[in-house]
Amino acid sequence: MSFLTKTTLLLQVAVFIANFFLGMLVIRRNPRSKVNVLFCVYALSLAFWNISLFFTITAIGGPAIQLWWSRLAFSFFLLMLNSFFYFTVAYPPEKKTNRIFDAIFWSFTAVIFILTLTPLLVVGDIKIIDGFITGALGPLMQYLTWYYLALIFLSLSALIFKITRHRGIERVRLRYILLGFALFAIPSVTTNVILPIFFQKFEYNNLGPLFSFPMLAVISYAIIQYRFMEIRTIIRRGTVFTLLFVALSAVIVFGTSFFNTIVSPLAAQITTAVIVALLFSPLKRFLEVLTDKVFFRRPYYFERELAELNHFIAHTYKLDDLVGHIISRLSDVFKFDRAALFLAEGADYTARSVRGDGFLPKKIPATNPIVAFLREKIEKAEDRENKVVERDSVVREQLESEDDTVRERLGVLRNEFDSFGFEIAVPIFSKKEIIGVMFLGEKKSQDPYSVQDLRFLDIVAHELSFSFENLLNIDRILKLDKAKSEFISVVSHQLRTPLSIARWNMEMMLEEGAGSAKDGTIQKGIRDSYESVMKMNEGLNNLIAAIQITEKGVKLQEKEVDLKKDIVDPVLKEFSGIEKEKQKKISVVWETSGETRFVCDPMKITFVFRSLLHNAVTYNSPEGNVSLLISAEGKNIVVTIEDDGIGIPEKNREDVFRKFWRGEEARSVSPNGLGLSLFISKAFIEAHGGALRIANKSGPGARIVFSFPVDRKKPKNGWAFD
Amino acid sequence: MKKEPKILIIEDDVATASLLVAILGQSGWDAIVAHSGEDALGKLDQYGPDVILLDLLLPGMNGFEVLKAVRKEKQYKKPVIILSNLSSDSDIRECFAQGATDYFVKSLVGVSDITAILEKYKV
Repeated sequence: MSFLTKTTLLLQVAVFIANFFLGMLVIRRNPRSKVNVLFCVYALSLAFWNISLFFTITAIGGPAIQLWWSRLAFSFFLLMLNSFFYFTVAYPPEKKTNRIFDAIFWSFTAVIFILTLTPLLVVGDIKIIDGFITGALGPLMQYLTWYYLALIFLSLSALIFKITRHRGIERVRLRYILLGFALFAIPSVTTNVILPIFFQKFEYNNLGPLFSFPMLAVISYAIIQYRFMEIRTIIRRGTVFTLLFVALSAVIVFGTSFFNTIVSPLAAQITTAVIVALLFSPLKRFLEVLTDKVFFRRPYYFERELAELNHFIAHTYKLDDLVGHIISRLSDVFKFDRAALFLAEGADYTARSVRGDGFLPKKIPATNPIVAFLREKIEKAEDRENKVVERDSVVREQLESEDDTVRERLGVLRNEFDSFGFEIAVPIFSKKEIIGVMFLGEKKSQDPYSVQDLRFLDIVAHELSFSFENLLNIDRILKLDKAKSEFISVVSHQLRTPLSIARWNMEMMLEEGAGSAKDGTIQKGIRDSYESVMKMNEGLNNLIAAIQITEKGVKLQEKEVDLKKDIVDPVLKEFSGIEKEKQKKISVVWETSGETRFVCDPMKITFVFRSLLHNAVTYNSPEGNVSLLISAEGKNIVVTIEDDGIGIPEKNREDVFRKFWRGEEARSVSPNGLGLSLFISKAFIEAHGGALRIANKSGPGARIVFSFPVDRKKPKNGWAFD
Repeated sequence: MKKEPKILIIEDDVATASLLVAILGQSGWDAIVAHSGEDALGKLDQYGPDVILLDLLLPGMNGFEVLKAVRKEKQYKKPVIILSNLSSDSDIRECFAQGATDYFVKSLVGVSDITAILEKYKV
């Protein structure tokens, strides 16, 4: 037995053990995963293929046993190809498993496995010539050869097709499976096909199966581990030190011999040692830069980038500048296809900087699954733990989890990432509160984000959190300031109009002769001034009411009144002037048969009737009608006020109850107005235990409905609500 | 007898408008009122005023739009004086950019001021 054969035999045993170990390792990781099971079958069949060849060559137990081992070698080879094919079909795991396909596949595999054990394939007459197995083959062989070739072709096609269809971690894993396959196929085709056929060298034939080990090692790594960049880092470091060693050795050898010719041997050695010491650090750095360029398509220098970003963060006082710069800098570093930075705004997160292609959302709610997941992670994680969430780790956890609810939740998270094409979610938080989220898309190089990348992003997020918190506060103060200016502008404008009318009227009257010029001018002036003062008074009262409601709530001064006599009729009387002017009456319908006496704050209920009717008249169309319907529902009075005017758009039905809010159309119809009447009316009605809302109305115009209970008891001290 | 100069007062508030008509009538103006921007653009051709006195908060077309239409579409070259209660820098700048001749805040000017200001623009 030649040395090569002996070595091969030894290696076959070693590969059997190693493959067996890898198969068991992967299935132990997740015995429920179909992919892991298929990989295990694949690894074990490779292990047993190797050991079958070992027993065939050694012929332990005589020719009869040897014949069976040779047949088993074919069977395991077939099982290996079948399980690899199914593995490529099943990877990456889908949610649904097709039980019928499973049953057909395994039955078919079992039939072929048994067929290969019959004399239809290996007839007998096994001989080992220079370690090369020969024997008489049956009619099945030619069909089986075609079957093998077809399976290999299909497996490769499935792999390549899937690589083009998937992204992120799935694609990286598929590439590793393809790499593993190449590691096995290229050398084994060389030893078992090229060398025997083209060079008549048969002695290397048995080496082929040994290459199954590197393949399994790579694929099992792909299944179990997922951060592949580490391999490159390890190789890169190894390369740096090897080159460093070679270079410095050369310096020592050539340096010593060169200096020997000039100075004494001791001095030559010392000089060389000094040169080596001085050269070590810069040479190492140079080689690191060089290998970075070879192993990473585009390197970045962690400390330098971080220092630059920190410098910018520390010196930027404008939120939008900072947000824009961060995304653009990160885009230079990572070359991603898209990114977005969201900052907290009320209950939502608003996109403040967006980059790249595809549809990116403008707003995400605080209930967004990714945000919720980040929040949970921040709650649970240790302070120093990285809080960045990757789509890849979500996918990995989803694949490996045995808990259906966890898998479902991770599935939702994964879909959320996929819907916008994001790979990474970086929380920016302060005191466990998420103030912003940065989303990054896939790198254009299609490389996954490395551990270093994630650390980098985590540090950036941490630095940003301090800055954002301060800048958000400043932003808030500026907005408040702007709101205050707007408030002052609205209020002063609304008060100025009646004030200037009163002033001009009085000036006119004071002017000598104005009164005598025309009869009634003085009286008109007094009346106009009075009306203006009353308008100003009303505006001020509303303003004070709104401030009081906001700060202290509504205080009721209650007494028993009659709804018709004390409230509705007096209000309608106020409108009689307008009715006459427009030659249109407000149609009033009473649908209450019983008692309309009840306890309330009459001033406030009167305000509500007056304000809502005033709005209905103001915003009505010239030909439109205004109607007031008062009905009773149980122990409630229900009032409906309708007009045929501009109406209130569905989207603004909440806005109209906000202080100082006025719709575009309302401003256009009546430019003067404080936007307080609905805010105050709602507060007044609610203080009476009632409700006020904008109801649907067919056709143009608005319908406002409010109700309040009539069975309120008059409180002894006169105050019912504070 | 010298013909009175014509002034078009664009003001939606009825009380303010009638007061301005009275004030300007006394100081020798032939004043006419338009209560909205649309109304004003119609009266502009018909009436041919020598000066326009324009409020900014108007129903429908606002004063800025009216000013723009008067200058660009109607090619009106005579003075347009803004008399409004809006007093922010941006509003004032916007008006001058659109071709306003002068700008006054209602509550800051008295009757005598109004007549004095407009006296300058009498043809």
